[in-house]
Amino acid sequence: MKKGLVLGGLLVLLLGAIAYAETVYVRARSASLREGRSSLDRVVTRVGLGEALEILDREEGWLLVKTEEGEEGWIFGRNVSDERPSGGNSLLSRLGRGFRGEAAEVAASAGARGLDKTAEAYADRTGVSLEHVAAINRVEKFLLSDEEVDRFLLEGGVGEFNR
Amino acid sequence: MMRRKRVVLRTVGLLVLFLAGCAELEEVARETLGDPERREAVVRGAGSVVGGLLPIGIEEERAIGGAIATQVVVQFGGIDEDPVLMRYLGLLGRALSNRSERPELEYNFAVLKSEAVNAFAAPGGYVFVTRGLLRKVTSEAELAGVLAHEISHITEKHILQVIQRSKALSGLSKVTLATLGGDPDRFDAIIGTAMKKLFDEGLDRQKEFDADRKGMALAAHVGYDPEGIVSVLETLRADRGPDEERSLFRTHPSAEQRLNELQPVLSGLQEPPSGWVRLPDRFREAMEAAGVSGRDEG
Repeated sequence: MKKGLVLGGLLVLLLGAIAYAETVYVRARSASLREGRSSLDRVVTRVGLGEALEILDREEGWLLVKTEEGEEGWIFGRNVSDERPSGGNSLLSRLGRGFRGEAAEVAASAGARGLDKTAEAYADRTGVSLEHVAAINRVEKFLLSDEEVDRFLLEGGVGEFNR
Repeated sequence: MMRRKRVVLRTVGLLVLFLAGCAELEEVARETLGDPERREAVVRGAGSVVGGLLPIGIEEERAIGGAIATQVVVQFGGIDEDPVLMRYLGLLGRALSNRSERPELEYNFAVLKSEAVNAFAAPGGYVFVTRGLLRKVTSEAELAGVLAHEISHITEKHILQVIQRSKALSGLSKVTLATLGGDPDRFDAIIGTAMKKLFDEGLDRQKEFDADRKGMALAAHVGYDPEGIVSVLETLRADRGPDEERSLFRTHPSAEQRLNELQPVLSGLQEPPSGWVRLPDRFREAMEAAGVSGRDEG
């Protein structure tokens, strides 16, 4: 009888913990989970747009979170929101965001595709020079990784990288 | 008489149901979405479905935006492909777009060789600023303000809304790449509608104010001083630069009006403990390395 009560109590506690687990979603294109609450701390892993994270702790604008794979780390609070962003999809984020068709919004991030064929045909029809079209294609293929963007922000001490 | 009464009752009933529906939608949005801007977007989005506007998918958006981009490049002197400039603009632009309302888009940022003071956004993620505009800018926070304004036109789909409400889509039941590519006359009409707005008429003033407000919030969200866009507008109020006919003054509300509209947003933003940055030195170094600042090419 006593054993049953203890087990029941534990069950209630467990259910309570599950009910209170707060989930947030990555609202940046990608973001870092770090070992500590600063941009100088080592990156544990990177998370992608729309990925669900469970909040474990909060401190000074940073959140200690756990990914669906169980990895834990601190993320800058402005990189998450309570709502799942419309363009995000955690599975596609993890798979490298290169898939087309199923999630049209995510497909756009395949990148480096160059000017759309319909747009190129339009340019040809309206007499846009090949040089201008080639220049736009070079801009489209000028790729910068999210890590390079973060380094740029770090060097400038911008936002989460401001110390 | 009885029949008339029934009709009146039915009409009143339908009206009540409709109003209740709108109120309910707002109520649901209020309960589920804390952020007032998101709430407004959901209610507005539902309204566009009710209004019967044809949705435009991301691939179609890229086709439309790419075509507009070719015209922007032609009309504003081609793209400046200086590698320092491309890299600096790309990094700053991506820093902002990565944290925008549509971070999943593949944005492209480029400088136009024109000395007119102007900037453009085309659907699908194309953002352009002229060399003339860069000469008026004095810090990275100011340029962030300009880019964030343009990014907000894209995230809010302002040009797409113009197209959706135009006659260019009449008779279509769906907008697909096949319908756009297979009907050049219609595609040209769509691009013509967008270009008329971009180059001649300008977007509705409310869309410009909207992009100012959202752009300012985005710049601050990333960590740039939101007063950046304010100081650009103040500079432009005093000096409109060369080639005014092709400058943004033709198609945008006055700097005074824009500054007035921005004031309440600015006072509502809370500076984080770590502070906002302006970075005038890094901007100047990049421009000097790219040969933009202090060079007069008229």
